Amino acid sequence: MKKFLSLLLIIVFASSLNAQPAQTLDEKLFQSLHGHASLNAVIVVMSIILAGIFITLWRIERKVSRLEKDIQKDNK
Amino acid sequence: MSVSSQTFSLLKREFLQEQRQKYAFFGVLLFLVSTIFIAKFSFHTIKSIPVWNSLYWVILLFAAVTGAAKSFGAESKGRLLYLYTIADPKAVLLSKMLYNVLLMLVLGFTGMIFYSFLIGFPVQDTPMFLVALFLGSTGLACAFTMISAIASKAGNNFTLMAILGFPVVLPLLLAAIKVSKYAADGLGWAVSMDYMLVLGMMNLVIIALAYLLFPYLWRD
Amino acid sequence: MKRNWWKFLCAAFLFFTLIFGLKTPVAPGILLNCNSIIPAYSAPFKLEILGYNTRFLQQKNSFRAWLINWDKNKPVHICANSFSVKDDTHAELSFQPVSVLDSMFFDLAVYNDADGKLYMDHAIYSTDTIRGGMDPMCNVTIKNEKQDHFAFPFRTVLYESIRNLFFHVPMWFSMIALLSWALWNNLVFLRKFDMKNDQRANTAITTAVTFGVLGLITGSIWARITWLEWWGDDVKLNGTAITMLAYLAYLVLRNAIDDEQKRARVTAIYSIFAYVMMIVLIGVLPRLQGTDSLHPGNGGNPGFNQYDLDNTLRPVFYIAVAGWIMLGFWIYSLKLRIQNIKLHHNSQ
Repeated sequence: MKKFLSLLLIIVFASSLNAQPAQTLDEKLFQSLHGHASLNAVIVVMSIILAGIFITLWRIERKVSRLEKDIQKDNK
Repeated sequence: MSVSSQTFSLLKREFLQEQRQKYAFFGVLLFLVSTIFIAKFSFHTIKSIPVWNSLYWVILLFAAVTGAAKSFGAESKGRLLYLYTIADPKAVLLSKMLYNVLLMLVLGFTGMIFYSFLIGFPVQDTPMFLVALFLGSTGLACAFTMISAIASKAGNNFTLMAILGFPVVLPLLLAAIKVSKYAADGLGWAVSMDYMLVLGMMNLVIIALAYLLFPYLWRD
Repeated sequence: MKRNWWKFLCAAFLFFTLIFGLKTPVAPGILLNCNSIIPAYSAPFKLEILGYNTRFLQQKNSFRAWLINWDKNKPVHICANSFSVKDDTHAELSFQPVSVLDSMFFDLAVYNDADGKLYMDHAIYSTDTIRGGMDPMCNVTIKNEKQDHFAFPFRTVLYESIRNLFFHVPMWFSMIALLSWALWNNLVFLRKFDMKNDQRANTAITTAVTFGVLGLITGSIWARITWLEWWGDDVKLNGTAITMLAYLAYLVLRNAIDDEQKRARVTAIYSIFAYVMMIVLIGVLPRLQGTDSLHPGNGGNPGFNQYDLDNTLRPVFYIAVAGWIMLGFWIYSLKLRIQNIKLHHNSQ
């Protein structure tokens, strides 16, 4: 569930970037150049890689906490 | 006894076994023929060369899985143990591999006769196509023999065999499809030489890897 | 601290990649904003050009534009007889009638002192092939061949997404590095039968699969923007997908065997097979003639030549690759240590 939520968050985040206005170039130019869209590709790609790293970290964390619990139980 | 003489006596054993229980070879042949008939009923004749070509290779791929699954899967545990005590593992592998290669060649060529009889034979460069068929079937047989050995160590079910086998034989199959398509288009040897070489090299690499790694798989 | 130096290096490299990969501007470039077919030798015509990151208005005094037509490998320059610059990125050029020489294609060049010479190959062409007449030839003198600041090359189709080179491509390098480490450990395992090597190989493969999946997803996003499809007929794309299938099959195989020693042996053998097939799929097959590939360096071209990877991309790219590979090994080492603690704890 949490994985799903984090993914959803990233998709929302990535799509919200669409709404940002262009800084220096006009709209028509951006459309004709795919300049805007191509920069978005970089942002989405980076978000996906970050999401992947976060999911991996999350899984490692779960493993560690399970291990901690086991060790604590055995020590008692 | 040397590895080669062991291989031949084991190969003879494979044929004897085949003679006693005829279902193995004829089972796969029946599978092949009925699949070709299904293709015949659904397509009638195939005009497009890529479709004609890849359909045959897909049929052959499944025939190879069914055929090769028998090489280690059909043996009982006791018989494998017996083989282990009397024979060199390399001889066991080579005999099974040789047997499978012969089986696949016979299946591939008879299947091709049926296939071209029923669906058509739009090939322009027949010798080259036959070379592609030869190399492709040999590669499929060798790869699936090794995969069958691996799968037999892991509970030996058919699904596992397909899961393990398909990704490994895919590059081989892609090259074979490319060469036979070039042959069907009649593009000549020079064009398909690269793929032919890659196909041949892949066969050699699979045989060499299997030969080197099988002894490790064999011991229990 | 001494053992962890490479983690600091990894962080430094990735910071460098992020900052330079995103901060560096894309070099100025030009595109045509009008019909690219012109009448030959009949009427004067106008060309509307779009600049990307250009400074047309700022450098209006040094602005110049000309067409290049090739006459038996000798360039013939045809200067615009007048031009109007609307703003930094828009300009309109007007030309006298031209005659078509050896080639029906005309290259377009635009120059100003700040942006340097901006070149567009085969910008326009003429359907007419009548020879004759004299072209208004001109000599062009140029002060700066290239703009002076550090920038990534301007490539049509790619534009800003050229930066993905530092994020998408290193995923594959990371995956291959981890898989090679797994292969080495598999080979050592078959020599020594030490379960430590099996543990390492398995952990490396699971980490590599993560990187492979990331590479596939990011590649798909990039393909949507540049090749306009999520999943194309690309040999390399399909090859990597099959490689992922092979390694997923490895994980299935691992779950199918209970006995530890036997599992280690069988999976080691299978993963050696899978590695060899991966080399064929993504190293050999894409390089052959007659394959459909949109990746640079495939379909018979040499890989990563100076055209694909120019001197501005290269340093950032190498550092990015090193950084991502180190990150992969960092994740791998964390997973491995957890495995070891678990084993140690269970055996007590």
